[in-house]
Amino acid sequence: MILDENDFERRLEQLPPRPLDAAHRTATLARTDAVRPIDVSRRRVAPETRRLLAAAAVVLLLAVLRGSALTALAETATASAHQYTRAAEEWARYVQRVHALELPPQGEAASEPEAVPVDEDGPQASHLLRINRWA
Amino acid sequence: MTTPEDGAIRERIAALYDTYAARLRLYVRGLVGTPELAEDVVQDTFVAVAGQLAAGRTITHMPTYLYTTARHAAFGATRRLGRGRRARAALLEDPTLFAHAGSPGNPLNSLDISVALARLPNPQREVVLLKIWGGLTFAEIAAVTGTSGNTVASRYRYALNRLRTTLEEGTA
Repeated sequence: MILDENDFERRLEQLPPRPLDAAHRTATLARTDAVRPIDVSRRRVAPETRRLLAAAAVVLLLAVLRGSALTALAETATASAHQYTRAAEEWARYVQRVHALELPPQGEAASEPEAVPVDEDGPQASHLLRINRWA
Repeated sequence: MTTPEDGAIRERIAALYDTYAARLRLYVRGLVGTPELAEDVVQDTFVAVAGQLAAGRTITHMPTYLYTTARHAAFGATRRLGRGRRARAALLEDPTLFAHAGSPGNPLNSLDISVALARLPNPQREVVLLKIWGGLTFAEIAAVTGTSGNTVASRYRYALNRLRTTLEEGTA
Protein backbone atom coordinates (compact mmCIF):
# COMPACT_ATOMS: atom_id res chain seq x y z
CA MET A 1 0.00 0.00 0.00
CA ILE A 2 1.50 3.28 -1.15
CA LEU A 3 -0.33 5.54 1.29
CA ASP A 4 -0.15 4.71 4.95
CA GLU A 5 -3.59 4.96 6.55
CA ASN A 6 -2.45 6.99 9.54
CA ASP A 7 -0.32 9.26 7.43
CA PHE A 8 -2.86 9.87 4.71
CA GLU A 9 -4.82 12.58 6.52
CA ARG A 10 -1.66 14.46 7.46
CA ARG A 11 -0.40 14.36 3.89
CA LEU A 12 -3.68 15.78 2.63
CA GLU A 13 -3.43 18.64 5.13
CA GLN A 14 0.02 19.43 3.79
CA LEU A 15 -1.53 20.45 0.48
CA PRO A 16 -2.53 24.10 0.96
CA PRO A 17 -5.35 25.49 -1.17
CA ARG A 18 -4.19 27.82 -3.91
CA PRO A 19 -4.51 31.45 -2.75
CA LEU A 20 -6.67 33.91 -4.65
CA ASP A 21 -5.05 36.62 -6.72
CA ALA A 22 -4.50 40.14 -5.44
CA ALA A 23 -7.22 41.58 -7.67
CA HIS A 24 -9.84 39.48 -5.94
CA ARG A 25 -8.64 40.66 -2.55
CA THR A 26 -8.74 44.30 -3.64
CA ALA A 27 -12.21 43.94 -5.15
CA THR A 28 -13.53 42.15 -2.09
CA LEU A 29 -12.22 44.75 0.34
CA ALA A 30 -13.60 47.53 -1.87
CA ARG A 31 -17.03 45.93 -1.72
CA THR A 32 -16.85 45.41 2.04
CA ASP A 33 -15.79 49.05 2.46
CA ALA A 34 -18.98 50.12 0.74
CA VAL A 35 -21.12 48.19 3.21
CA ARG A 36 -22.96 50.41 5.65
CA PRO A 37 -25.24 49.49 8.54
CA ILE A 38 -28.64 48.53 7.22
CA ASP A 39 -31.33 51.12 7.95
CA VAL A 40 -34.45 49.02 8.19
CA SER A 41 -36.79 52.03 7.91
CA ARG A 42 -35.36 52.93 4.50
CA ARG A 43 -34.78 49.46 3.21
CA ARG A 44 -36.19 48.92 -0.24
CA VAL A 45 -37.86 45.78 -1.36
CA ALA A 46 -35.51 43.56 -3.34
CA PRO A 47 -36.44 42.99 -7.01
CA GLU A 48 -36.84 39.25 -6.39
CA THR A 49 -39.19 39.93 -3.49
CA ARG A 50 -41.12 42.43 -5.60
CA ARG A 51 -41.55 39.88 -8.39
CA LEU A 52 -42.63 37.28 -5.87
CA LEU A 53 -45.21 39.65 -4.37
CA ALA A 54 -46.54 40.53 -7.84
CA ALA A 55 -46.91 36.85 -8.72
CA ALA A 56 -48.70 36.19 -5.44
CA ALA A 57 -51.09 39.10 -6.11
CA VAL A 58 -51.92 37.74 -9.58
CA VAL A 59 -52.56 34.29 -8.17
CA LEU A 60 -54.79 35.78 -5.47
CA LEU A 61 -56.72 37.82 -8.06
CA LEU A 62 -57.24 34.75 -10.23
CA ALA A 63 -58.46 32.82 -7.22
CA VAL A 64 -60.94 35.57 -6.34
CA LEU A 65 -62.18 35.80 -9.93
CA ARG A 66 -62.55 32.06 -10.16
CA GLY A 67 -64.44 32.09 -6.86
CA SER A 68 -66.77 34.82 -8.20
CA ALA A 69 -67.41 32.86 -11.37
CA LEU A 70 -68.24 29.76 -9.38
CA THR A 71 -70.56 31.74 -7.14
CA ALA A 72 -72.40 33.20 -10.16
CA LEU A 73 -72.77 29.74 -11.66
CA ALA A 74 -74.16 28.39 -8.40
CA GLU A 75 -76.65 31.27 -8.18
CA THR A 76 -77.89 30.61 -11.73
CA ALA A 77 -78.32 26.93 -10.95
CA THR A 78 -80.25 27.77 -7.78
CA ALA A 79 -82.55 30.18 -9.65
CA SER A 80 -83.28 27.53 -12.30
CA ALA A 81 -84.06 25.00 -9.61
CA HIS A 82 -86.50 27.44 -7.97
CA GLN A 83 -88.24 27.99 -11.31
CA TYR A 84 -88.64 24.26 -11.84
CA THR A 85 -89.99 23.89 -8.30
CA ARG A 86 -92.58 26.64 -8.83
CA ALA A 87 -93.67 25.10 -12.14
CA ALA A 88 -94.03 21.71 -10.49
CA GLU A 89 -96.13 23.20 -7.66
CA GLU A 90 -98.42 24.97 -10.15
CA TRP A 91 -98.90 21.75 -12.08
CA ALA A 92 -99.72 19.92 -8.86
CA ARG A 93 -102.33 22.54 -7.93
CA TYR A 94 -103.85 22.32 -11.42
CA VAL A 95 -104.13 18.55 -11.16
CA GLN A 96 -105.79 18.90 -7.74
CA ARG A 97 -108.36 21.33 -9.18
CA VAL A 98 -109.13 18.97 -12.04
CA HIS A 99 -109.69 16.07 -9.65
CA ALA A 100 -111.92 18.27 -7.46
CA LEU A 101 -114.33 18.88 -10.38
CA GLU A 102 -114.96 15.11 -10.72
CA LEU A 103 -115.92 15.47 -14.36
CA PRO A 104 -116.70 12.21 -16.09
CA PRO A 105 -114.61 11.34 -19.04
CA GLN A 106 -116.09 12.64 -22.32
CA GLY A 107 -116.29 9.26 -24.15
CA GLU A 108 -118.26 7.55 -21.38
CA ALA A 109 -120.86 10.38 -21.18
CA ALA A 110 -121.62 10.13 -24.95
CA SER A 111 -122.31 6.38 -25.01
CA GLU A 112 -124.59 6.16 -21.93
CA PRO A 113 -128.44 6.03 -22.84
CA GLU A 114 -130.69 8.78 -21.73
CA ALA A 115 -132.65 8.05 -18.57
CA VAL A 116 -136.32 7.12 -19.25
CA PRO A 117 -138.94 8.55 -16.83
CA VAL A 118 -140.75 5.75 -15.07
CA ASP A 119 -144.50 6.10 -14.35
CA GLU A 120 -146.25 4.57 -11.36
CA ASP A 121 -147.98 2.09 -13.60
CA GLY A 122 -144.73 1.00 -15.08
CA PRO A 123 -143.30 1.51 -18.50
CA GLN A 124 -145.59 -0.86 -20.26
CA ALA A 125 -148.87 0.88 -19.11
CA SER A 126 -147.48 4.27 -20.02
CA HIS A 127 -146.71 3.10 -23.54
CA LEU A 128 -150.23 1.66 -23.91
CA LEU A 129 -151.78 4.91 -22.72
CA ARG A 130 -149.81 6.91 -25.31
CA ILE A 131 -150.77 4.49 -28.06
CA ASN A 132 -154.45 4.75 -27.09
CA ARG A 133 -154.29 8.53 -27.09
CA TRP A 134 -152.74 8.65 -30.60
CA ALA A 135 -155.31 6.20 -31.82
CA MET B 1 -16.56 59.62 5.29
CA THR B 2 -14.59 56.87 7.03
CA THR B 3 -14.97 56.57 10.78
CA PRO B 4 -12.50 54.82 13.13
CA GLU B 5 -15.08 52.08 13.44
CA ASP B 6 -15.08 51.59 9.66
CA GLY B 7 -11.30 51.31 9.71
CA ALA B 8 -11.46 48.63 12.41
CA ILE B 9 -13.99 46.65 10.41
CA ARG B 10 -11.83 46.94 7.31
CA GLU B 11 -8.80 45.63 9.16
CA ARG B 12 -10.78 42.77 10.57
CA ILE B 13 -12.21 41.84 7.18
CA ALA B 14 -8.73 42.00 5.64
CA ALA B 15 -7.38 39.68 8.34
CA LEU B 16 -10.26 37.29 7.87
CA TYR B 17 -9.74 37.34 4.12
CA ASP B 18 -6.05 36.50 4.44
CA THR B 19 -6.86 33.61 6.77
CA TYR B 20 -9.94 32.09 5.18
CA ALA B 21 -10.32 33.20 1.56
CA ALA B 22 -8.31 30.38 -0.04
CA ARG B 23 -9.92 27.71 2.15
CA LEU B 24 -13.36 29.12 1.48
CA ARG B 25 -12.72 29.14 -2.25
CA LEU B 26 -11.64 25.48 -2.17
CA TYR B 27 -14.73 24.57 -0.14
CA VAL B 28 -17.06 26.48 -2.46
CA ARG B 29 -15.40 24.90 -5.52
CA GLY B 30 -16.52 21.57 -4.11
CA LEU B 31 -20.11 22.88 -4.08
CA VAL B 32 -20.39 24.94 -7.27
CA GLY B 33 -17.55 23.66 -9.44
CA THR B 34 -16.68 26.64 -11.62
CA PRO B 35 -13.79 28.85 -10.41
CA GLU B 36 -15.45 32.14 -11.34
CA LEU B 37 -18.64 31.35 -9.48
CA ALA B 38 -16.65 30.16 -6.46
CA GLU B 39 -14.74 33.45 -6.34
CA ASP B 40 -17.99 35.42 -6.54
CA VAL B 41 -19.41 33.38 -3.68
CA VAL B 42 -16.31 34.01 -1.56
CA GLN B 43 -16.63 37.72 -2.18
CA ASP B 44 -20.34 37.68 -1.28
CA THR B 45 -19.46 35.85 1.93
CA PHE B 46 -17.07 38.55 3.09
CA VAL B 47 -19.54 41.26 2.13
CA ALA B 48 -22.15 39.51 4.29
CA VAL B 49 -19.71 39.40 7.21
CA ALA B 50 -18.93 43.08 6.75
CA GLY B 51 -22.66 43.82 6.81
CA GLN B 52 -23.04 42.00 10.11
CA LEU B 53 -20.06 43.78 11.67
CA ALA B 54 -21.21 47.18 10.39
CA ALA B 55 -24.63 46.54 11.95
CA GLY B 56 -22.90 45.99 15.30
CA ARG B 57 -23.82 42.30 15.52
CA THR B 58 -21.51 39.88 17.28
CA ILE B 59 -20.39 36.75 15.47
CA THR B 60 -19.64 34.21 18.16
CA HIS B 61 -17.79 31.65 16.07
CA MET B 62 -16.33 33.14 12.93
CA PRO B 63 -15.21 29.98 11.06
CA THR B 64 -18.62 28.35 11.40
CA TYR B 65 -20.33 31.57 10.39
CA LEU B 66 -18.08 32.00 7.35
CA TYR B 67 -18.59 28.47 6.06
CA THR B 68 -22.33 28.53 6.72
CA THR B 69 -22.69 31.84 4.88
CA ALA B 70 -20.55 30.56 2.00
CA ARG B 71 -22.64 27.39 1.83
CA HIS B 72 -25.90 29.34 1.58
CA ALA B 73 -24.43 31.70 -1.01
CA ALA B 74 -23.11 28.74 -3.02
CA PHE B 75 -26.47 26.99 -3.08
CA GLY B 76 -28.19 30.25 -4.01
CA ALA B 77 -25.74 30.81 -6.86
CA THR B 78 -26.18 27.22 -8.07
CA ARG B 79 -29.96 27.57 -8.04
CA ARG B 80 -29.69 30.61 -10.30
CA LEU B 81 -27.78 28.57 -12.88
CA GLY B 82 -29.66 26.70 -15.57
CA ARG B 83 -29.85 22.92 -15.51
CA GLY B 84 -27.11 22.47 -18.14
CA ARG B 85 -24.74 24.95 -16.56
CA ARG B 86 -25.39 23.37 -13.16
CA ALA B 87 -24.38 19.98 -14.47
CA ARG B 88 -21.17 21.35 -15.95
CA ALA B 89 -20.48 23.28 -12.75
CA ALA B 90 -20.39 20.00 -10.82
CA LEU B 91 -16.99 19.19 -12.31
CA LEU B 92 -14.20 19.81 -9.84
CA GLU B 93 -11.19 18.30 -11.62
CA ASP B 94 -8.67 21.11 -11.62
CA PRO B 95 -4.86 20.80 -11.28
CA THR B 96 -4.69 24.31 -9.80
CA LEU B 97 -6.86 23.62 -6.77
CA PHE B 98 -3.84 23.35 -4.50
CA ALA B 99 -0.78 25.55 -4.29
CA HIS B 100 1.87 22.86 -4.55
CA ALA B 101 2.49 19.22 -3.80
CA GLY B 102 3.28 19.85 -0.16
CA SER B 103 6.39 18.65 1.49
CA PRO B 104 9.15 16.78 -0.39
CA GLY B 105 8.39 13.10 -0.57
CA ASN B 106 4.64 13.62 -0.51
CA PRO B 107 3.29 11.32 -3.22
CA LEU B 108 0.06 13.32 -3.53
CA ASN B 109 -0.34 15.95 -6.21
CA SER B 110 -2.99 18.53 -6.94
CA LEU B 111 -4.50 16.91 -10.02
CA ASP B 112 -4.81 13.45 -8.45
CA ILE B 113 -6.45 14.91 -5.37
CA SER B 114 -8.88 17.02 -7.40
CA VAL B 115 -9.83 14.00 -9.52
CA ALA B 116 -10.35 11.87 -6.41
CA LEU B 117 -12.40 14.65 -4.78
CA ALA B 118 -14.55 14.97 -7.91
CA ARG B 119 -15.43 11.27 -7.69
CA LEU B 120 -16.73 11.54 -4.13
CA PRO B 121 -20.46 11.92 -3.48
CA ASN B 122 -21.29 15.55 -2.72
CA PRO B 123 -21.99 15.13 1.04
CA GLN B 124 -18.74 13.19 1.56
CA ARG B 125 -16.73 15.70 -0.46
CA GLU B 126 -18.17 18.55 1.57
CA VAL B 127 -17.20 16.95 4.86
CA VAL B 128 -13.64 16.24 3.69
CA LEU B 129 -13.17 19.80 2.48
CA LEU B 130 -14.47 21.23 5.74
CA LYS B 131 -12.45 18.88 7.95
CA ILE B 132 -9.08 18.74 6.24
CA TRP B 133 -8.78 22.14 4.58
CA GLY B 134 -11.41 24.05 6.55
CA GLY B 135 -9.98 22.93 9.87
CA LEU B 136 -13.42 22.46 11.46
CA THR B 137 -14.31 19.87 14.06
CA PHE B 138 -17.04 17.29 13.47
CA ALA B 139 -19.40 19.29 15.70
CA GLU B 140 -18.73 22.47 13.72
CA ILE B 141 -19.20 20.66 10.42
CA ALA B 142 -22.49 19.29 11.72
CA ALA B 143 -23.57 22.85 12.53
CA VAL B 144 -22.59 24.08 9.07
CA THR B 145 -24.25 21.25 7.14
CA GLY B 146 -27.26 20.83 9.40
CA THR B 147 -26.58 17.14 10.07
CA SER B 148 -25.65 15.12 13.14
CA GLY B 149 -22.09 14.65 14.37
CA ASN B 150 -22.32 10.89 13.84
CA THR B 151 -23.37 11.36 10.23
CA VAL B 152 -20.51 13.73 9.65
CA ALA B 153 -18.00 11.31 11.21
CA SER B 154 -19.20 8.37 9.14
CA ARG B 155 -19.20 10.42 5.94
CA TYR B 156 -15.64 11.51 6.69
CA ARG B 157 -14.49 7.94 7.28
CA TYR B 158 -16.09 6.69 4.06
CA ALA B 159 -14.71 9.64 2.11
CA LEU B 160 -11.14 9.09 3.33
CA ASN B 161 -11.26 5.39 2.43
CA ARG B 162 -12.62 6.21 -0.98
CA LEU B 163 -10.02 8.91 -1.56
CA ARG B 164 -7.22 6.51 -0.63
CA THR B 165 -8.61 3.83 -2.92
CA THR B 166 -8.93 6.24 -5.84
CA LEU B 167 -5.44 7.63 -5.32
CA GLU B 168 -3.92 4.16 -5.04
CA GLU B 169 -5.62 3.08 -8.23
CA GLY B 170 -4.23 6.19 -9.90
CA THR B 171 -0.68 5.64 -8.70
CA ALA B 172 -0.65 1.86 -9.22
